[in-house]
Amino acid sequence: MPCIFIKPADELVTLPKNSNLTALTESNSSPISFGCRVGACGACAIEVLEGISNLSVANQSERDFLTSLGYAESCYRLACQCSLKGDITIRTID
Amino acid sequence: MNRCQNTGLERKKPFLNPIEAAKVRQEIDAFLDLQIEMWKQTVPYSTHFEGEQVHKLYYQRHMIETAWRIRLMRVAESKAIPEIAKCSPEAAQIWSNYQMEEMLHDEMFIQDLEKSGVSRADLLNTEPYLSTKLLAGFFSYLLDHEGPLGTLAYSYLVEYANVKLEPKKIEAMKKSLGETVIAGQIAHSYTDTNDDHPGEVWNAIRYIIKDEQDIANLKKYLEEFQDILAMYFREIYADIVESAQQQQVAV
Repeated sequence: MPCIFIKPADELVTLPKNSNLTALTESNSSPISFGCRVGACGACAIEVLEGISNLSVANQSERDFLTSLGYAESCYRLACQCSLKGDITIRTID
Repeated sequence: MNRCQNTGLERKKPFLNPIEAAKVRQEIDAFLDLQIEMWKQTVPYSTHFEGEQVHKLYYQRHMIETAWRIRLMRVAESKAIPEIAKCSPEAAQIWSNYQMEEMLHDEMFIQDLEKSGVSRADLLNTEPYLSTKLLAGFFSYLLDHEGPLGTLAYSYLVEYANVKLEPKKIEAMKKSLGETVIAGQIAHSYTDTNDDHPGEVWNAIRYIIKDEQDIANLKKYLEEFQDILAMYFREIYADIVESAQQQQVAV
């Protein structure tokens, strides 16, 4: 099963393949704050440090919104819009 | 004491965590595979569309009923949203999105119907079969008296079977009927697969399941829906295929 290493909390979470990252709310520390869960609020923006190709591809709407938030680079994602395909390392954004 | 209840806020985490849910899903899928095998052995014409020749009247009537079933179920499934929200707002959000994606799918079947020579007026003048009305009624019963899990179970059954069985059926029908004639059904099949509708519905089910008994109930619902859908296949077979055979004998 794919692993998610979350910085700066240094927490390792395992989820089944194709899980949405919203399932991270069920981990012990709930390191990511999720809001609307439909990609409209920006609360769950993350930086993907490793394994970006192991996430489902961002659609144009997500890219446009991230750009408007100041996260135009492709390493940024909205966690609620991501399905997990393999191992990743992410950093939460305050 | 706070009298306000049914807000979906009682459980912080689902009964099944993502890893446990994946295991239960494998168990349910294996259960469905057995049901599908039984279906093939006991339901008349269950693999008819996988054959080289298609009974035209049966095809048209089946498409009419499919459009009606989608039209009736979208009403019943929309009524499930508040019931699901009372248990799990997370599940209600997933379910609402799924309903949005499914809402106009009858159009794809109606477009194919028109290509096969059945107009929208013909469709509107054809009443759904009793088995389809009973299916819609069963949804009402479930929501009123047993909760929303049964409604989600129906969609999981349909989506799982679609993704598993439709590709073979579509390939056969491309040859028997022609690709352009079934373009709507091809598009429908793509939607179910590309949007991962079985996964979407399962994700909602995961949030709704609250104990081991619900897992047992889920299997029971899958069996009950298979029974009701089998009623429809027997009804259409009697109406279209058997009645034609009887008329031939009479002549």
